[in-house]
Amino acid sequence: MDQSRIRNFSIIAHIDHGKSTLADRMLLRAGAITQREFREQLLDDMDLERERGITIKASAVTIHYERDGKTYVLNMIDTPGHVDFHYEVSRSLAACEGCLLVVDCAQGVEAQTVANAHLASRSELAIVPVVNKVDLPAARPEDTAMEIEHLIAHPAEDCLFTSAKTGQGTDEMLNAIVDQLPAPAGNPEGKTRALIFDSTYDDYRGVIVFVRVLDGRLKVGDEVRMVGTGETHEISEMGKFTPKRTLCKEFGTGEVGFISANIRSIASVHVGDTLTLDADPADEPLPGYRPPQQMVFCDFFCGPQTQFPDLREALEKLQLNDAALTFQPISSDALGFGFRCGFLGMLHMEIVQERLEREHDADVVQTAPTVGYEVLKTDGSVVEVDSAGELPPTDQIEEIREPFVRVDLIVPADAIGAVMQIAEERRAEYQKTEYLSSDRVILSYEFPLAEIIYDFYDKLKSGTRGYGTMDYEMIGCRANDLVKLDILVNENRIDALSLICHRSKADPRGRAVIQKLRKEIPRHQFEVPLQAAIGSRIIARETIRAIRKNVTAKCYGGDVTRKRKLLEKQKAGKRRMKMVGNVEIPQKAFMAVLEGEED
Amino acid sequence: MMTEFPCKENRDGVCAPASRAEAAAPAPSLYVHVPFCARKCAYCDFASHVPVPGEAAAWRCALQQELELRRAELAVPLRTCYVGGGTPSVLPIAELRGLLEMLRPLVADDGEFSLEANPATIDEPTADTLAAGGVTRVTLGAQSFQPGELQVLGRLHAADDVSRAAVLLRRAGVANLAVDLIYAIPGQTPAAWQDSLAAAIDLQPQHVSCYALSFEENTPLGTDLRSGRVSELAEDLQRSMYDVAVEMLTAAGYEHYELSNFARPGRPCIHNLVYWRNAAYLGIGPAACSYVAGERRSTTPDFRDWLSALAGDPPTRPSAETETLDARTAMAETLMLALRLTAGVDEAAFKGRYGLSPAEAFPESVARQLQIGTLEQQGGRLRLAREAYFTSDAVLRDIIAETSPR
Repeated sequence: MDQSRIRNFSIIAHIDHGKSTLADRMLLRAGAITQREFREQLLDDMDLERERGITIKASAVTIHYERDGKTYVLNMIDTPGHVDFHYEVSRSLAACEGCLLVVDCAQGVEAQTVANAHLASRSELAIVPVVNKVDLPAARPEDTAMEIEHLIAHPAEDCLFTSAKTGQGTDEMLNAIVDQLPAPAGNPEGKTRALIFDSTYDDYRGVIVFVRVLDGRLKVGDEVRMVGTGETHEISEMGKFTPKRTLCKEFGTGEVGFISANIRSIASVHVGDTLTLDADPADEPLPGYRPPQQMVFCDFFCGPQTQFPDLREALEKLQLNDAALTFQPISSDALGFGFRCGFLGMLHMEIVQERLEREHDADVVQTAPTVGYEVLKTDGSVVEVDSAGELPPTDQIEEIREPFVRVDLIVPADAIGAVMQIAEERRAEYQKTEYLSSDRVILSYEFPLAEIIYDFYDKLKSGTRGYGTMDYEMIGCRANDLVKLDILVNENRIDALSLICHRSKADPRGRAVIQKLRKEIPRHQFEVPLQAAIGSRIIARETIRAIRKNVTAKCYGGDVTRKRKLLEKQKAGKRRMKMVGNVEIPQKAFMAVLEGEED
Repeated sequence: MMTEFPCKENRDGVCAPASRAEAAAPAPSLYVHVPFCARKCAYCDFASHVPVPGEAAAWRCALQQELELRRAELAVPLRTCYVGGGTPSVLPIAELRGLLEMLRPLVADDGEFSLEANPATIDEPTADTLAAGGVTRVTLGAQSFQPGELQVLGRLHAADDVSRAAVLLRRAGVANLAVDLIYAIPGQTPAAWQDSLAAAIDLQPQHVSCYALSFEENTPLGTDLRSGRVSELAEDLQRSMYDVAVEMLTAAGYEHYELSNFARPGRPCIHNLVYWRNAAYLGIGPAACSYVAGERRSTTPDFRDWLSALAGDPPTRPSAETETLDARTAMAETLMLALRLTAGVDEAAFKGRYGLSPAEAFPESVARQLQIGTLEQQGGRLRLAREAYFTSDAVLRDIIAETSPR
């Protein structure tokens, strides 16, 4: 294939800004799909993603576009649309020479778009700005073009104006891809290096790996090696999605497609890894690779309807097409056996939990999410800790470090005060303010990750009347004055309720958790004291009063069944409870540790 | 409609029909349901209605048929016979006499023959009819001695009807009297409750029952509660009313033998003890319940359905919901009932009946409740602690929850 006729590009867009429809427009224009197929979002193949309007798994679609008697091969590489998948986005962009930066001109530029646009600039990608949804009554195409100019210093008058809905601007977009984006550079005679930018699992073929060939070539039958993991496999099949699955025998330099090589476990395929020929390996792997990094952790315990082996099997199945999910068995005094799971972020965690329930019918008790801490021990060693229960004894702790993230918030100028207050409450360190336009600003902060994993986004949304958007990026761990907060129910320390928090927040946090528990835990036949403690010091205390009356009248006329059924009905209501000591704790209570102190 | 519940698997996966756990013998106790009232009370959700003329006669004929159809389930002479409702004393004298003539030959000479009466319906002829018909014990539904409270309850009788009825019944020869009281009535004060208790004690009945008012759905009071027209008394107040009842009645010489029941020595309600000991009884009449040979049966509460089945030619059994208890359910029910008795359950007798002691049958919940202190073991008996009387459902629910494998 003529390398000069290949264009590899991504579409950068915020959720709902029209990425999928624009992609479908191009496919329709190139004759790759029919009008009937047009409406379907071809790139998203999981229900969950469609419902949430986001793309989780990146994939690539090849469009054959004819112009002036020449056929161009346009490889559209999808990028995940959520902050949790920062690294995956960066690898998708690394497989491209250019990108379309799509902005909904009724909404304006949003935080993730900014983050990804900057990522594209840093990766030296050619950027074609596209102002979409110009047909909407609320459209502000010129303002949006100006925002883009501020953002990436791209002249506003060079923006394309499109409507994915009506088809306006589709030709211009295709022409811009051909004319403005460079063809892949790579050396066809060099040693083969291909970038793995995504993978998925197929029941019949095993792992399907999406690759971009940077140098050299790949063909069916090649024995290939994944540099990062060292595994070798023979390519059994390769091809492209056009968008139909179309097989071929070889990928030349600059080409994009999928391979299958009888790989049974997705865990051995890492996004960002380099594929080379086992017989003639490249000297240097491609830059930028890092193994999947879990940022958020929580425990899944078996609900009443689920057995431990079933939960294990469900997680194993999920892991088949989710390489970023990790899990290991744990046991809790309060909740029995379960798994500590690691996720890329909060959304990733929610998706896994939903898929467990939806696809595997598993009911789980989920504990409050935490972040991964680093603990420097007095003996100089450093341990990683992802739950309060794993902390070493206090006298062995030199310092506790918590992960920090750089957070960019795009908010309306009149909401700056509100947002700054939210940030301050969450121990954020202010960095800078940048005006995107006269009424929209980018606020940059450094946040402890722990402060944004729960309900921060909701708070941001309500503080900005829904207009605020955010993006975050990991910037490493920092030592902080962190303490372990224990929760005691009826004098028993409940391990699943312990948490790590900043000393300055411990008192209000402890009180908030205790108050929440007082609401969630039903009254018992005895008083149930609730306490929050740091070490042996009690910082908050509440008491759940005992039931004073719970007695029904006699079984009139010997109607014993009615009485028994009544008691059985009460029992049914208690099913989603965990018995800890003699206290029944509803599953909801285990999320109580997340409640903010103002609630 | 017949609903047959399949035999449930117990915790060990052994399918044990109750007939093996409970003797398949006929019942020496009979309950008769009179589905008529002069007026529905505001709190009542039992199967009863105001009869149209002729209905009482039709009911009695049908009852006769039902008794004959189920005669084999009865062990005659009966130790107890209990006529409840509804308001049995609202029956026309002729029907009442006919009913008693039908039942009396079945009851042992020294058996307990009880009948419930509304104090307003007891006049001299009625009292004489009851005594002549062999009734040995009458329960007077006094409920309260405060006119305002009687009005809230929708009761037909006046406060002084109770003592008048007691005098008439005693004069006619019914020596064994019981008085039923209700407390925690909306608006009731502790002082008013003590007055009612004192008035009941003054009558020197052999037996007193005190039940907290329960707000049933589909009753006028239940509707008033939902809509906020009345409100339930605070739990602490209800509890102190219960405590004061226990205090006053025991001080007056009544034995507190069941959570809500008090009796002069040797005068508990033998028929109700049959229920609490989970022994066999047959029930006839619409909505009547039976427990014979390990099978629970609830006859249709629909008067027309019940009547038409028995008035057919030939008469047929009215429809009923039935449940054959597996051993675990039978054990749970036995405990649920026996723990209402302040003497509790004899652990050896329980083991003799089911092969397992309560603590063996329900190891987790019994151990837990013993630890919490709501159950106690003494002299080979397992019983509720006094402190747990007013929260007994929490204990029973825990035991019931252990019935089915988790």
